[in-house]
Amino acid sequence: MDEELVARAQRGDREAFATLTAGRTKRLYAAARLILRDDEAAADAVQDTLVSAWTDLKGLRDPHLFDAWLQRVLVRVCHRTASRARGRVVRELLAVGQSLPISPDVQVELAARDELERGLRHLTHDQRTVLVVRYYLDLPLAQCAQVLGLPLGTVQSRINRALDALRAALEAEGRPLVLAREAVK
Amino acid sequence: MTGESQLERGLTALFQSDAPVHAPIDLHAAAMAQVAQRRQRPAFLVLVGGDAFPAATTRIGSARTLVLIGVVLMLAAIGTLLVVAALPDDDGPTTSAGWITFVDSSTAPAYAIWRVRADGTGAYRIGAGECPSVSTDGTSMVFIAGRSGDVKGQTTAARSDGSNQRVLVSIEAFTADVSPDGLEVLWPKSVGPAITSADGSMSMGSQSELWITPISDGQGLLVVPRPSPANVQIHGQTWSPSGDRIAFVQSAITFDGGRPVADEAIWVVNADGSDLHLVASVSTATWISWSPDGRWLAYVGDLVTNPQVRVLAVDGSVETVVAPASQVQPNWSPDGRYLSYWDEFGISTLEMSDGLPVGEPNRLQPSTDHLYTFQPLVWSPDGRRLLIVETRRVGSGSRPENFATRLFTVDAKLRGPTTLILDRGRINDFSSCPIIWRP
Repeated sequence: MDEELVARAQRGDREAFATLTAGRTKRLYAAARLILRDDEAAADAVQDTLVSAWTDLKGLRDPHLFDAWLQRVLVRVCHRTASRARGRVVRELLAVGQSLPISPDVQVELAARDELERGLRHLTHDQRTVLVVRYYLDLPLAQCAQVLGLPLGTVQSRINRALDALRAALEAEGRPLVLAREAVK
Repeated sequence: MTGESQLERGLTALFQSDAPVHAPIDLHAAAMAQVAQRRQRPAFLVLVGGDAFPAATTRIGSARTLVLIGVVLMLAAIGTLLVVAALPDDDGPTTSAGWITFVDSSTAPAYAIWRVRADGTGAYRIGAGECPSVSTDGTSMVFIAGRSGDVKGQTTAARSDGSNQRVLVSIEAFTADVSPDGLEVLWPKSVGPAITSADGSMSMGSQSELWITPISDGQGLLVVPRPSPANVQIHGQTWSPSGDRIAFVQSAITFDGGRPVADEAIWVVNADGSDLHLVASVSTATWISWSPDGRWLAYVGDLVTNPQVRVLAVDGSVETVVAPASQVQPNWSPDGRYLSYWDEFGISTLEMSDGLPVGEPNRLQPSTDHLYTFQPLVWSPDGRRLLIVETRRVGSGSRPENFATRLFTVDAKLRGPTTLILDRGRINDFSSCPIIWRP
């Protein structure tokens, strides 16, 4: 079904393109938000991604790969956005209201998330991107390579380096990573 | 469970929980409204543009592929010729012209000022002294001479080769700065008593005025008088590239539970003392670097808790956090193309345009076994090379003779080979008095 929509969209059918992308917008937005750490920039990036996808759709040679191709366009757009806006966006950590009743388990989970949040803020845009593609989009390495436009070995080493950098950032803050069993369920 | 798999699981959990439940309602509709106004690019242009997905593979024998390859090769050849002819060499030569002025601190507290050509030849000793400042045009210098033990030094002017030395003012103005044209000297004069906490237990030095004195005689002009609130200090004064203005920092000192706290602000004044005005209140600003076009001021803000390179419009209208940084002075390249600074990765240069960064920073990680490399990065006069100061331990203990310093240069993008300029005993242990590279 999607392949037919892709084929129709490639022939210039805007309605088919709208149908094809409507259900994918939420996931694109989520990925962009994780990469850019800014809601407005993420929304702009998704819009740019959809417009670029429309104009360049004829470059997609295999309709089966529409999702990977769309994610690749998103990664490129996010990279451009980050390059333009880097340094101007300051994202505050989400504060948890103290009046909320928080169970000990949730507290542990929030503490682990807070550690990782802080660590992620120390990563470069490229490092965050590779982690989002791998662990949010949850793609196997081969598909990560397609989305990132990099050789497989390079992707693996970038993931390792990003994880190393994240671990180093956590250690540098004097916050050894403590992820309780409950926090990763 | 390994540490890494635990980290990976944590990331997945964070990402899934941090992902928004809903995208903005009108996001897709807004995108489709734009799509309605756009045409698709023809397949040929997409292929030539390299956006084919998956990446195009060459099929030898395909007439279309061969034609495409031929066209691309021809365009590439023409393009390469045009680019090579039109653009300057980005990496530049591995050596550069000019003179490097530095302080030999291997015999501290007896310091001496030295000079060496940028290719590492012709090193010679100018004389006893410290904290030199050399004019941008490379004609004049000032430094502190005659300091010994409890004996205060004097602010001394000379030609940049060290000749024609004479006392400019008979006080120690460690941060005296020669104007870009080498004709005047901007210097701070301490006035009044030290700023002291209410209980008298802490003291933060005295207030000061800013004076400009022609290098040819001692008749000075008071440019910025002593601030009226008795707790306000002036520091970080620096000439604009055209020499018509001066930027400086005012720090209002208070004492909070025995700890000094400074509220800081960047000010600008014309070199004749007129139009003294506040540009912006800032968290901290210890060092200021003017952009060569005189429109922007780069400084390290939030110095203690979260150091950042910030770029502030001289009219105060815009401020941009450009990059995370370390506690070292950022410097604009003389051609205005790059900002150099230290950050958690090591040395970085960042291409700038209209006060905003362009692309990702270039980075160079110095070897980790070398100490005290955190000195400001010094640009060559043509802005094509950067001087890196590397001080390493050669013995145990903290005495100066247990350290040695090497000076390297590297191209502005930090990717070419480094060139060793000098390898000798310790130099420039005064981070407040950086090494200078002038024509």
